[in-house]
Amino acid sequence: MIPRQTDIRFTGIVFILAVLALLFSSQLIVDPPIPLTTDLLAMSPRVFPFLILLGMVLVALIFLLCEARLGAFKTINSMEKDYRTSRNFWRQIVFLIITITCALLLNRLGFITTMFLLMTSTSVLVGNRSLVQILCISILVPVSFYIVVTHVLRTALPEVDVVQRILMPVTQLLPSF
Amino acid sequence: MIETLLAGLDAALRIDTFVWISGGLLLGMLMGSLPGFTTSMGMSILVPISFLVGDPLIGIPFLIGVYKGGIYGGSVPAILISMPGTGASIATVFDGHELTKKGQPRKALEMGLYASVISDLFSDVFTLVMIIPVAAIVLGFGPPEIASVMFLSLVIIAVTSMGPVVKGLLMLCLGIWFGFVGADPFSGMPRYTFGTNELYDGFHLIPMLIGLFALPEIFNAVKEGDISGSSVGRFVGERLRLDELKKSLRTICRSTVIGTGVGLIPGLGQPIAAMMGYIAAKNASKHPETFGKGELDGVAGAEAANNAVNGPTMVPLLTLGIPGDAVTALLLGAFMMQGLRPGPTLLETNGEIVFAILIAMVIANFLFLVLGYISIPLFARVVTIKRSLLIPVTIMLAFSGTYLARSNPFDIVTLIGFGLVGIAARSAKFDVAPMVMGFILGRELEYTFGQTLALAGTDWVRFALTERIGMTAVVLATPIVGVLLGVRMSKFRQRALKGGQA
Repeated sequence: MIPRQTDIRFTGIVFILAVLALLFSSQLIVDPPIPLTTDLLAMSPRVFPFLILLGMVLVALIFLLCEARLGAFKTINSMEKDYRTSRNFWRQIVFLIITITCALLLNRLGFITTMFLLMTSTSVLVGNRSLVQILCISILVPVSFYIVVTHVLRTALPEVDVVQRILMPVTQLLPSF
Repeated sequence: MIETLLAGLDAALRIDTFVWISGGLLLGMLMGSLPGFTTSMGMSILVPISFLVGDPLIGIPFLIGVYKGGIYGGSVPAILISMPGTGASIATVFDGHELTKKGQPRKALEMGLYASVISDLFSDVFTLVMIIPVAAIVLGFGPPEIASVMFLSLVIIAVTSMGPVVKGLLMLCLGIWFGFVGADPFSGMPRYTFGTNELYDGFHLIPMLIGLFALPEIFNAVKEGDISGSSVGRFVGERLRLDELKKSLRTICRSTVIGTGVGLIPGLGQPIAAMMGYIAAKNASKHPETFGKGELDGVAGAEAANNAVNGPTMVPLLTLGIPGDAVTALLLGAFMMQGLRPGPTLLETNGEIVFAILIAMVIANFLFLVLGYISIPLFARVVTIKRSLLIPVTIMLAFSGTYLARSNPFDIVTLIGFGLVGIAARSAKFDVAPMVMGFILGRELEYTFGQTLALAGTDWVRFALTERIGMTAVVLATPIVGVLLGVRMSKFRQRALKGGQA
């Protein structure tokens, strides 16, 4: 029941975005400052995007018309209402908010702290209730991964000074590669 | 070419390559064995690691190991707990789990392993033999021919994707459109960048792939909550006898041919090959009524067909730069990160590396047999691991893998953006594979099409009908192929559904 409604919604959003992109294509695509000859520029930068957006609009329209003929728009979805009030729905929303927040904080808080927050909250949301397991995974895995990547593979990961200083005694003990 | 092949053989015979292949095989089998973890997801988070090791002769074979291991690993939960680890193992459930119910899971798992290794070995040798003539033909291709083959491939990918054709076409167009973001390939003028510098180079492939494949799986796991493995996940029962394997050899050979053929066509992939292999085994059997009730031939037919796809998908990838499915799209990303651009000139410019990778693929099958045999009991236990322990590690790998690919913080934003698109598409039952293919091939298609127009000049009718008749034939045949394949695919899906229920 839910997929049927969501596929119409997804197609509807794609349809609206494609129409908007078509309408505002003059603002969204910059023309070359000087007109180039056909030898240099056989095709304008607008041609292919126009064709693809037109294709998207047509395909989305065909899909929406087929669904409308089947009466999908009229279906009152009580199951969806139930789903919105369910714990699963809110768990997913919380997960999305945490993931987006952690993505934005990665450079500011550093890799280990961000991953600790992200992994702890994901563990709880997935259903792990063992505090020992959650803490072990959320601390040990990012710390060891950070050490392997920065010390063994010699590749930088974003990290704040404080954490780098705390880890320094550990990394100094490790053999250099 | 023979000299390049020998140089490739020399380059492939390195101990570190085999150590990394073994690691890839084990990781792939682990990922495949975990219900809810797909091969695409596993590979997407491991692509950046293949880049970090630096050498393409280590990084690419490592991923090929993950690919092979993952496709086989999916059969473990399919057989033990009736939950296919990957889409490729759906047909394995029908008879594999019935054998488990009869107390013979060991027999089913061993048959799956032998069928997978035999078919994989033959299809890899076929790939190695095929790549030379195909590359020689493709070398004669100019932009018009490449553009027409890409157009044909995109149509095939859209019509053979999961679900209705309209959905596949919509996702394909969406993927192509995402490929337009950034500088125009001819004039260098920005398109859909909204004035930002970050978007001028376009979206990077790796965060896009991780976002589309890994984040929706994690999101789904959050929805479903913790799923611990069943107590059925045990490796018990009789071993597979030699006479039982001999009896199934004909089925394995038939499925190898089917899988190899399917692998050569972009877009079809392992799930379709597995169903075709299973149905062919059932149709050819003297006792079709035993299928679905614990028939070893059913396991052999499905497993041989899905693993035989692995090798031939490399032919269009390496010679034309066209990935056959989502996993080969990830391999394409790995090749590009290593500075290798799959396409007609790859064999000329980096022939030694290409042959080394293909030879490593062939040798990997022997490692696959040994490691698979030793580790079956271990992966039978892996099925019982709680998902809540693995999902947090996966999300960490998704984030770090994205960042490590280019050390660009904007890639994390791309990851989240495509993650949201993937989540929306998955909940709406849209297949993201055509979108990935569209993203990869759309820009190339535009570029080669532009070159074709430049070559044609003003008299394009004469150009199309006299100079490039091959291109015109492919372009004209594309809609016919699309319609025929679309009709056949919908009939095949209905038949497969009936086969599965039987």
